[in-house]
Amino acid sequence: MSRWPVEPEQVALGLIEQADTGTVERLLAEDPAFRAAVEDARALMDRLRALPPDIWEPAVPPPFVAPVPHTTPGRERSPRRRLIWRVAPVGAALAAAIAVVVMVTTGDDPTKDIRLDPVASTPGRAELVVTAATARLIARGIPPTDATHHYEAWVGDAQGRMVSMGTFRVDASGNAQVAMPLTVDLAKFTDVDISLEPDDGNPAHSTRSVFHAKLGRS
Amino acid sequence: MDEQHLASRVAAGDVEALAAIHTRYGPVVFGLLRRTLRDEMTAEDVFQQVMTEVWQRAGAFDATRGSLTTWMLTLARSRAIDELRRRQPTPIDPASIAETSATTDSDFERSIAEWELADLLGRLPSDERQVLALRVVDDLSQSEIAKRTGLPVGTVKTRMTRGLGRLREMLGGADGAPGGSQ
Repeated sequence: MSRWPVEPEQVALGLIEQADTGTVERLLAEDPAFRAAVEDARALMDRLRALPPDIWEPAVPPPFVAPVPHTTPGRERSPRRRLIWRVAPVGAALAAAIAVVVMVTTGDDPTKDIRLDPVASTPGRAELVVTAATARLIARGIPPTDATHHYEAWVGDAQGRMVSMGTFRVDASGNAQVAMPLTVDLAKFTDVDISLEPDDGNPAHSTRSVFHAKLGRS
Repeated sequence: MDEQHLASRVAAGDVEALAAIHTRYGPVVFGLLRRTLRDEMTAEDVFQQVMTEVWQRAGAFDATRGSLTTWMLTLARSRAIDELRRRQPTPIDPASIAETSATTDSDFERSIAEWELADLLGRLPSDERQVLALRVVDDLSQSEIAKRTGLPVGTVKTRMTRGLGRLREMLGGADGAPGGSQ
């Protein structure tokens, strides 16, 4: 409760007794903090009155469904525009130095190391270790993300449909270790991609790929 | 547990953290979807899409840029727009959607602001929320509320005052610090 003999909320709610009206009038006239608190409470009452009535009772959402990586289909996204993979050519030595490696270990399959090529001049290296349930990205020396961007890992099919594997940020060290659920059958996809995404609420691929590889290539 | 930590746990593949998000934020997200889409089953489908997206994109959440409530409501907004656009007959001028349906930015901004406040209402003790609703929605006096609920008038008054005060505190505007409710 507040430091005043009458609560600002009581004023906003119209709950002031006749005997307290003088006190309220004096406080409103002489105490800027009380006056501000009453105005704030009244503004909140206005917001409450403007709410649709059904909002007052909490909705009951569908039951929680735990994600089951190998049986739950991943979220497919409509790309902003159909992606055409264009991996910038780089020198062999440079590619070797800044490669991103995806290691795939799924069920009975042996581990696969999939080298992702840097797009343009993206520096750094990363390793994506995919097990039966989770993909773990281990990034080293890649450009840090700022407050407005993040990285996103994707798989794509031959038609350009994209499915996100997850997002991650990279701090000033340029390093990151992030677990991502594996929610798709990789056999149905042809490409792996890591993109730089603006925090714009648009879930589609930004088309700004930073690492890329063809699946099935060893 | 703070929101950034909760999101980080989800990003790390912690299913229990995702379940905690479902419990904590599910009602308000589903409420927005149900009200926006006007169809319970569709809202349930889209809600599951949102939860999947939270599972996949939790690493992108940044608590310094906004609350988890707002982030999830924004995701829900995007998925609701996708759903509403799918309902439009084709061919369609995308610009016309924003002009003619409930998918305009201003509609959704208002809707999200409403549901953020609804989220706070959902955190109130139910007895406080009940008397506030009778006051605000049904426009009853404290005497009428006492009669309706069977509570003493003093109890009604106390619960209403506490409830509104608690909301102000959650908005950061209590005890003479204005601005949270503007």
